[in-house]
Amino acid sequence: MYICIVMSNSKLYKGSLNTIILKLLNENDKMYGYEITQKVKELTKGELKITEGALYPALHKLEAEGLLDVEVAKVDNRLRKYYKLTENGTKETANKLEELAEYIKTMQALVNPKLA
Amino acid sequence: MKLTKEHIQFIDQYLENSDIIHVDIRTEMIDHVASEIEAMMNKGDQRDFYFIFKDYMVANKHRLLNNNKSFIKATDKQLTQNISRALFKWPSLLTFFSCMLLFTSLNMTTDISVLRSWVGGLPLIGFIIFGVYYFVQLRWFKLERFSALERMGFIYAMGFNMFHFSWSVSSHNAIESNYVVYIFSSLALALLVAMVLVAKNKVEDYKNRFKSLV
Repeated sequence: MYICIVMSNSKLYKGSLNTIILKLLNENDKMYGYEITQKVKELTKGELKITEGALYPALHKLEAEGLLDVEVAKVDNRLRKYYKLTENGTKETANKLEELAEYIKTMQALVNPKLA
Repeated sequence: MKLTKEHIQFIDQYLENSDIIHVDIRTEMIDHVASEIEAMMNKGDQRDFYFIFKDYMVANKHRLLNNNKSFIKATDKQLTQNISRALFKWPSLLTFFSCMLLFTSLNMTTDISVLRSWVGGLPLIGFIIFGVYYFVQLRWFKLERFSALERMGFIYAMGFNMFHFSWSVSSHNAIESNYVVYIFSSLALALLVAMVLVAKNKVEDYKNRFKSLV
């Protein structure tokens, strides 16, 4: 596993990379690799930077698992590979987000019981 | 600012020379590198493309090559799943049972040592035909190299080695060990048929995805 998510506390985020990708693709019809890295950077105001060494292996793994589908289009003198969710991918996104919400709730209860 | 066709060709050539030989992997890397360089230029980097590219590669080449390895790993995983599924489709099942029927009936009428050698050689002959066909297609039509089609050879080679091992270690005299050879040989030939089925699908898939390349 590559330690390529660049930020102050990367270990905490590393396990959530697939969920982040699935969530973004769920909100946008289709996205390409570089676009995903930039979107994450923008949404987290630069706190989370996903490098290609972490992103593409995750995308390829999700594609191999049948959660993502691929479309290639010619853009600006080159070919661009777009990823989009498959039907299974959409279901998996819902599961992953539910898991993440549970995790956040549990952590909240542990770290800050008053808010939970 | 957008990179020109020449810039893209330069990135492509550089990555190909860096052992990223499969076009389906390279395509994605070219787009990523080009997008990064364009973003730098749009942010005000006034240097020539080649200087920006050189600095980018110094900082990121190692990660890009690791990405190549991970892509191949994912391709192998996907291919193994596809071939396993194709093994249970009727052309593969038909091949397996027809071969078994043929070998066992020949077993009763033919000299066993001759039959054993022939049966043992069949999967290799099949693989060579498959390999030569692919190589000729590649050279003759100057086709691009796609990861899934080439990695299939690796998967078959693993299957063939398992078969060959069983053939080598089984006793050459015992009749029951001949049946082990027949089973493995039929399995190897069924695997070959499954590979042809998967290759056909992959070629169609690549044709659809990379219309401007193939």
